[in-house]
Amino acid sequence: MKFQATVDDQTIDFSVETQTQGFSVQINDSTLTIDCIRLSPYSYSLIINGRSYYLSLTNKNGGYRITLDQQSFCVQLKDETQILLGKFGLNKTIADTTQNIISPIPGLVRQVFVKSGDKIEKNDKLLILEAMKMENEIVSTVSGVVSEVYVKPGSSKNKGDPLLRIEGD
Amino acid sequence: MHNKILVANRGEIAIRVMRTCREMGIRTVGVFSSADRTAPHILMADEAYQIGPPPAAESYLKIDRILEVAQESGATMIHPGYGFLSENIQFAQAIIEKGLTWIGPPVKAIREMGDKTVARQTAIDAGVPVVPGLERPLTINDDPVAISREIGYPVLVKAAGGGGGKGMRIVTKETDLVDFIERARSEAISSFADDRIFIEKYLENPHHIEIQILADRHGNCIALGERECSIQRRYQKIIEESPSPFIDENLRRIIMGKAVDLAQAVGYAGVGTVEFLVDSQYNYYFLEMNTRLQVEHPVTEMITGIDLVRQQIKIAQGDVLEYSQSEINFHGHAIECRIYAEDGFNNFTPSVGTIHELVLPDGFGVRLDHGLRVGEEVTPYYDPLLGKLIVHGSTRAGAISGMHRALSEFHIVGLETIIPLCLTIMENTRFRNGNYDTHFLIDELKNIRSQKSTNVAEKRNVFAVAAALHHTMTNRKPKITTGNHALSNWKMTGRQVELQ
Repeated sequence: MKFQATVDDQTIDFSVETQTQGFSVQINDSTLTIDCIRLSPYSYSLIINGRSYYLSLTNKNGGYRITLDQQSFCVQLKDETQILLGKFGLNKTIADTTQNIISPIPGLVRQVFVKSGDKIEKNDKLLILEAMKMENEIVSTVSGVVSEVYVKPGSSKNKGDPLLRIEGD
Repeated sequence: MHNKILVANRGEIAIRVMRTCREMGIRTVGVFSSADRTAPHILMADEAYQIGPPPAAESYLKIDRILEVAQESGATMIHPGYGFLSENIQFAQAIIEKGLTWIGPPVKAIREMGDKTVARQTAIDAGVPVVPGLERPLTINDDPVAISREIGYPVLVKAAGGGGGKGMRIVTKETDLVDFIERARSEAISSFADDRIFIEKYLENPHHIEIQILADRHGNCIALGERECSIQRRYQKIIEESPSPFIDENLRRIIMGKAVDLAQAVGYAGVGTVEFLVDSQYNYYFLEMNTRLQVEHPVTEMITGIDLVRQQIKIAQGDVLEYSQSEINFHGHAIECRIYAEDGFNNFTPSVGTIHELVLPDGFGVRLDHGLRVGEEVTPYYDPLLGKLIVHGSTRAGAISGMHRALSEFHIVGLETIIPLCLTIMENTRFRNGNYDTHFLIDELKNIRSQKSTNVAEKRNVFAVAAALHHTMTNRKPKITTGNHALSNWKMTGRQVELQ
C-alpha cells in the first residue's frame, strides 16, 4: 500500500506491506522492518532497526497529531486512492486557502485590531480574548487578507467558534 | 484535638494538603463543583460535598456554602490552599466567627499585606527597601505623564489588587502610557473589582527572589531560604529553584533578615512569602507579601526537609515552632517546573480537553504534585495549572539533568502542555549557567522556537510511518459483498473523499 504523508511542510512518499510479524516499509530506497504494537487507542510502540519509539497519536484537523520525544507534529496522510485522486486534481485540501481563525478557548472578546479588507501577516495581533481572567492575544496563523470579522468587543465565544475569516496568500 | 480538615480548593493543591492530613491522622473533607465530581481530589478525600455549578464564583468562591459543608461534615479546621479564598478576609473572618480554625495568617496581616499602599508603608517603617514610585493610587487630579517623567521610564502600571500578571503593564514610552493605564484598569475592574492604579519605577532585568517565612502565634519567626522565580511570562512564574544561582550567602542572610523583620512588623503567623526584586547591582526591593502557601512551596520543602503544610496545621493549632533559625539547613538543590495546560510555543494559548493517556515521571529525586487522571476533562473554568514537577539533586547541575530526564518521561495525551518548553529551557545554555533574570523567557523564546524546528528532520520519517501504520491497523475497510453490485467502488471512494 502506497502512502504520502505531509509532516512539517515536507511531503514523504513510501509504501507499507503487512507481514506475518510487523510491517515492511519502503522509504527513501531502503526497506525497514517495523515491529509495531498498539498500546492503547492513543499510543504506539515502534521498534525500527533496534531503536525504540514511544509515540502518542490523536486525530486533529482531518489528520493526526503525533508526539515523539516531546515533539508534536501534525501529519496529513493520503493512501493510494487519495494520491491517485490528487493526480486527477480532485484534491481539495490544496485548493482551499481560505481559513477561519478559530477561538482556541472559551472567552470574552475584549478588543478587535483588524477589520474586513485588512492585509495581515502571520503572527499579527488580531484580537484580545479574555479567558480565565487573563487577556490573551490571538495572533494570525496565516498571512492574507481579512475577509470577514465574526466578532465585536463584548462577544462571548466558545472554544472552536470562528472569530474571523482570512483569505490566505 | 482536631480530627477533620475541610480543604476549600481543588486540583493538585487540594491533594497536596490532604496527603499531609493523612500523614497526621486527620480526616479530610473535599468540596467540588459539578465539573469536578470525578476529580482526583474528590476520589482521595474521606468525605466529599458538592458546592455548586462549574464557575468558581458559584462554587469554590462561595463562602456560605463552604461553611455549610464545614458544619454538616463536622470539620473543625479549614485549609484554603492557594488562589480562590486563600487571601479572602471575609472567608477567614467568617471561619473564626463560627468558632472554627482558619489555617492561615491573622486577618490583620492578610488585610495589610493585601493592600499595596499599606504593605509598602509597613515595609518602609520596618526598614525594608521599596521600589521608587508614587506611594498612593493615581487620582483623577494626577497627571500620570508628569509623574512617570519624574520616576523615569520604563514605569510599571499596576492595579491595587493585581498580581500573577493580571492588571499589570510595563510602559516604555510616553505615547503608550494612557492606553496601558486603561488596559490595566479594565483588567483590574473585571478581576478584582478595584480600579486603583499605581505607577512605579520598572526595574530592568531584575531577579524575582522570594523568602519563605514560618511564624507561630507566640512571636517566633524564621526564614527558610529563598526561591529564585525569574523564569516568568507576563509575571506568571513557570520555573522556580532554590537556592538561587544569583545571590550569595551574605545577601541571602540579609534578605532573610529583612523578610523576618517585615513579617514580625505585621504580626504574621503561619507560612508566608516575602517577594523581592533584586537588580543586577544586587540592590533588593520589597515587592509584596503573599499571605498563604505558595504554588512553588515544594522547592523549599525539598531543600529543608520541612513539610510546610504540616507546619501550617501545627501553627493554626497554636503550637510553638518546631525549629529555630539555627536548626534550618539547606541540602542540595531543587527545581520546580509548573505544568500548565498551555501551548508554550504558541503564545501560551490555553488548552482544554480530555486526558486520554498519562505517563507520569518517577525515579530518584523526583516529586510530582498533580491532579491528573485519565478520562478527566480539563475545563476552562479553573486555573490551567495541571501539576508541578519537582526534582531534587545534590547540585544544581544534578537537579537540571534530573529534571530534563523526568520531563522527557512525562506524557499527557489529549492536551497541549508546556512540558516541551520546560524541556528546552533545561537544555538552554543561559539557564544551565544560572545566567538569567526575569527577561529570560522573552529573550530566549525566539531561539527556543527555531531550535524546535531544526531538531525534527531526522524524525520526520518516523512521524510519517507511524501515521500510516495507525491508518493500516485501524482503517480496515469492509469488503464489498456480492449484494452491493449496484454501487461502484470508484463512486463510493469519491464520495468518501468529498465527505472528509
